[in-house]
Amino acid sequence: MSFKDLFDNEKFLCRGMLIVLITGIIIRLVLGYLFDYNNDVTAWTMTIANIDSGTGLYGVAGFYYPPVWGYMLGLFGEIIEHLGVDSLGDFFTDLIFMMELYEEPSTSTPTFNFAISMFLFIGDFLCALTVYWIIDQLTQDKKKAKMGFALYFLGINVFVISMMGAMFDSFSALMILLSVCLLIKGKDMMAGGMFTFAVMTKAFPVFLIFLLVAYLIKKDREHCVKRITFAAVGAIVALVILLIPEMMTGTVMDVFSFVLSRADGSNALGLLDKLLSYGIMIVYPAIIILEIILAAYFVKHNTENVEQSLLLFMLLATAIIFINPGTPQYLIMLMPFTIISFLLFDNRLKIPLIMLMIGSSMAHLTHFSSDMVAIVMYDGLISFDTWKTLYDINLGPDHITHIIIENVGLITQYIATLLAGYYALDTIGIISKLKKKLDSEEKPEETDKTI
Amino acid sequence: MNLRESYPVIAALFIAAIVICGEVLVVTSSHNDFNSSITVGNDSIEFRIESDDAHTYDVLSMSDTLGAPKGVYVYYDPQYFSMASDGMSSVGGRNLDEKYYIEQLEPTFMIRDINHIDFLNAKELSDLMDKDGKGNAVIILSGALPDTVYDKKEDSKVFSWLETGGRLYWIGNVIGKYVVHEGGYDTIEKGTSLFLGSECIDSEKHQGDSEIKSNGFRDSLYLQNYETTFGVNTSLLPEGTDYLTMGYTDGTYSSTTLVSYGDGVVCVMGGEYSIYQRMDLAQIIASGVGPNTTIVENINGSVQGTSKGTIQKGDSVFITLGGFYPVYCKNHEVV
Repeated sequence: MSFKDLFDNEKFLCRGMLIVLITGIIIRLVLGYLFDYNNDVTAWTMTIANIDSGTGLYGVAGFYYPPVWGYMLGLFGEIIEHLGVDSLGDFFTDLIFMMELYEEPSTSTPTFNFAISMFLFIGDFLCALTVYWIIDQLTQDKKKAKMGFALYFLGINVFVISMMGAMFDSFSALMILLSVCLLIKGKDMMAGGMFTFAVMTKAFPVFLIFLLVAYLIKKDREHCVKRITFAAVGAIVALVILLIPEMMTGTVMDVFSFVLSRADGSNALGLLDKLLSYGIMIVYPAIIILEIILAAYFVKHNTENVEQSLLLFMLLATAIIFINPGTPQYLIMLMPFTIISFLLFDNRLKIPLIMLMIGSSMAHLTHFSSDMVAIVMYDGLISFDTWKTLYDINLGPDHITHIIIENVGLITQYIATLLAGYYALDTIGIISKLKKKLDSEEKPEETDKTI
Repeated sequence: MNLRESYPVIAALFIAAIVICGEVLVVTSSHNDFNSSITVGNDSIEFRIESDDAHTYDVLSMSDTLGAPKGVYVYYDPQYFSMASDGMSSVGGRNLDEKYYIEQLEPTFMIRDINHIDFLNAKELSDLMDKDGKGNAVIILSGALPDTVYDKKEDSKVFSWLETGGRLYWIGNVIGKYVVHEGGYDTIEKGTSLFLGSECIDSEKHQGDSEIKSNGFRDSLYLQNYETTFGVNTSLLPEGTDYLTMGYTDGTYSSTTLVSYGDGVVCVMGGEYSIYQRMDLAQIIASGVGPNTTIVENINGSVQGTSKGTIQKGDSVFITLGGFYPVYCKNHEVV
């Protein structure tokens, strides 16, 4: 019996789904308790403390992202503190040596780590559920939809990033997926609002605006102005609502520090960092141009099913964003579109999908020893000396192995991104069109592939 | 309503509800969510702490403190040269330069119940130092004093201000080594000696790796700045100098040292700019710790609702909620 045979085409909770859910939950419970990336999770504890103290998200340093994740942390902090979690973390003199690798000498408590992992579980689960919903809606094939759910929910990089990295990229992916779903359902104002939520979570989805507008034009040319206006109103209203606290405190510019600090080079530590930072100033405009061209092509493109076509184009549009190489967590946004396109359009996409899972996980797992600090300092599950030996092997002065593995991971996920983009281009028919142009005199003309 | 059909709407509303609820909490959380008070008895002090949510607390009874400052002033004059080193980068966000450091001081002090600080340019600093210094705290982040208050001599305005009880909190470079003008700066030979009585600071980069445990302030005040660059080597201070060193040491230099100057105090904080240093600065100023301060008793615990207790009597009680991540601090003077 293959993995596929575990899923039937009837109710949601079949045997296969129960196995997927239980496996995914157990893995998350274990990883969520044992690991958490020190640098990011201590930023979350500091953010919650800043909110508690009344200084908001940006009054003092600690939170560097657009505000949505900060607001979510506000609610999360209130819940756990109401439930009696009195200590978020501590500073440890024994960990000062970690600053050599720019890692914080502080750590959150295992209780906090476990709790934040369970909160991030919501994002993973809903994102997987949305993948299920999209495939089910577009194909009425529940078996395929369940496969989609399983691939996201059990994606190695998804639980590595959410549970070990304590990063919120599943929420960002979820919001942009929901935005697409709402547009398909004709809920344009809500779709606009959700798009703003996605952008105000992690900025990158902003580049997808051109394709989403193109969808409205293509889908309903007669009423597209009205629909775009509704979506724009939703987006603006959501933006105003989300920025009220920052408008009140005069910290609106801090909302964009995540993007600006990556573009002005002021935080760059070395020459390479500076080159990459300034490179962004060239890459970002190039990405915008490519996204506009793609959106224009989408409008002209012949297709029988606009919605299915939109999903494939979304994969390409997301891959374009990461022409500028992303860190492992950023690429979570690519996962749902790759999974959907793999199951719906092109079997070859399994290769970039697997590469993405392995590459991103490798790139993150290379500093696994520093993710274990909490259970060492608080629970003593591993003695400090044993852990320090492990840390030295993993990240110590001769950490050449770590650097090699990390870079192999980063290169693998980058190739996966390019490959996913290439297969999407090919499935859309652009590659064959280009080939045809090259040998136009020898071969008869072909029309676009129709999806 | 067909749940299957309405899934995106329900999921979007669910996410929006989480975000908006969190936003409301961000806007409505305030210093006033916490409260603390003391009742002074003959030999002991009863304290009372209130917090709706769970937080750890520390109650610190101290003697020979300076008391809470009457006024907190920060020198910042963009027209004048600054000798502050570039500073540590805030990972992922804005670079932590002098301007950003200063922007964060108001909220940092607000958490510690100091609700007003003044920013002074070179002329305004001079005007302040024309008056009696008693109870006033001046923060210098630029690593140098302007020529309006410091002219390389012992009779400079800053010294008479210190003599009368001023409190000078120094960050950013070697104390006394430079004097800045609108267009540049001068280096002063043995300038540190004018403030501390000896050349007990160098410009080399140092980092503390062990806590100064002897007086207990590192743990009680949750001091976190472990950098000792521009910090004081207390073994070189003139004999008989009253001083208190706390925080971290590299074996020679300390992250924080308070040294008596007449009726006033010079506090030298080591390291380049960092979040840790900013928090330590606020803890030290708000708690009123001085060169002769000692800890009478330190009690810690957890509060959700109201917590009460009794602590030995000193001349001030400093209450911290949140430990390493302070959410509320208040200095209670014992009168």
